[in-house]
Amino acid sequence: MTHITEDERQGLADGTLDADGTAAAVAHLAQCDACAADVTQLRTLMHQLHDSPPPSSPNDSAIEELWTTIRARIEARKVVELSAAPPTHVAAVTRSGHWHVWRVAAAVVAVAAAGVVAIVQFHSRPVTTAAGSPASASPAASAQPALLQASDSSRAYQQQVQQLLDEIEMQRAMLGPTTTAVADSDLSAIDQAIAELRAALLRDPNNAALRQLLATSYQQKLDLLKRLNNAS
Amino acid sequence: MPPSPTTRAASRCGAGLALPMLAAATALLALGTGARAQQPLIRARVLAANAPVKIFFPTGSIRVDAWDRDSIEVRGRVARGEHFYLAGDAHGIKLGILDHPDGILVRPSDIVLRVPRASQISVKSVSATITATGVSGWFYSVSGAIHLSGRARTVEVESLAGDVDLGVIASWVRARTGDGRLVVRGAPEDLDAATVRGPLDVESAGVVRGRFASVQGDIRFAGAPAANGVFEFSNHSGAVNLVLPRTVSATLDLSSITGSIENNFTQLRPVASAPAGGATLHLQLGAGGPHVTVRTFRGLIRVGSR
Repeated sequence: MTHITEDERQGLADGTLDADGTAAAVAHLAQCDACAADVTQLRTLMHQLHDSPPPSSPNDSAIEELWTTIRARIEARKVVELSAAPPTHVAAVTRSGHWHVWRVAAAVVAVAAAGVVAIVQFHSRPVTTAAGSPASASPAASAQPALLQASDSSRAYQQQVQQLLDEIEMQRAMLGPTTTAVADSDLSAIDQAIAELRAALLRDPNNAALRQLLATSYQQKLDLLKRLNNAS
Repeated sequence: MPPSPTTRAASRCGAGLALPMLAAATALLALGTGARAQQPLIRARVLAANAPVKIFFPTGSIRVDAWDRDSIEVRGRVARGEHFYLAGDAHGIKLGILDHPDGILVRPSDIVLRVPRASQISVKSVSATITATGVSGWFYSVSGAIHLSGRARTVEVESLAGDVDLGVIASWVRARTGDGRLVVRGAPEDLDAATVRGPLDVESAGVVRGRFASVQGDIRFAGAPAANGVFEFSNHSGAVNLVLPRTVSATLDLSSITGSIENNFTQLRPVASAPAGGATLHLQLGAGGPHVTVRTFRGLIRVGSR
């Protein structure tokens, strides 16, 4: 059985459905307990809402005019009590597939980013010698593994980011020129920051503050890509 | 036969009157069209207290208010030619304005929603202004402004270029924008706020754990860090300004790779860090307590008192 639509239910409940629509809907209600119960519930709700103070909004006067009309129609109609069986026909709300896919993709990237950040944060701990003092006397010796690790983590991050960028490129036409321009400027600003930080880290590989700033910039870029994905 | 002088006069008179009358008629028509450009809307549904409400509202304005009832109410005006949808049941609702599949721009509509206080809201907009009071959830806009206030459990706000204004009391708040201005007031206990190029202003005494970041936008924090609080500020080329009460107790670790540090709070001068030319400064104010870390690449770090 094909049930009446949400608009038809609402229109039936507040009396705004046209005559033909009303006749067809009433005929359906006579055969469908679920829809009948739902419309009854809506009519009750409309009565309750009418008695509540309205929220203030710029369009209040127009809305209240509409309410007056609806109220009059409801009163004139005299609501007939129908069975109170809960409606079972309305499909449960599911997240749209489109959003879901992007969320999953973003989550995968976020996990990867978390790994990068964790690695960078791990390296931000002070390097200590056997005696427990900071290894400031041998920066060259400690620099090499730190550089290798930073390089590895950057590579993993870049692979993930590139994958996301490729996907965004496919969606680019849907974003609109203004959005694209803003996003490009923001991405450019972050990329420039990352480039400067990486260059500085090459010169001073044990600088904990530099590593933290680089990790934050990576995170910023991933956040921006996620937001960009949401826009498409 | 040529027209008589009387006919010509009448004709001139008619022509003279026709223009203003036509203008008046056009104005009245435009007025009428404007008034009918949006259709009034009222919808209502029974809704469980903690049900999810998913909203897609491309453009115009949307306001979401919490109320202590087990129902959702939608009032407003929908632009002529646009289709408002509402679907779901007492366990979850999705509603909004349908996008045009042919790419035609959606015309602005204005709606006000009232939802159960504990419901989980998800609002996605393109350029619509989003205003919400007392509700928890996810709020996203490409370029529209977002303003949230009231008491909530958790709040996540994301925008590409829109302004974000948060005045919420919440246990967890995450806010992001790119070019927009991000303002945080209220009392978010756990706060993670970031911009790319927009300014970030935080004026709150309720933050216990705070993480603030930008790439080029200036960050300004004004308030008293909570006892045992942990605060982390990161900026690449933007400044970080800390405005603290004169009697504050806190431990501050400030470092800029190539930028400078201004200490207007105590007599202690920053230490120049070779070879990049940056500076570091460790400050113990009062009895210590909350720990504040500030890092910039070349942005100025300034500490001062109210």
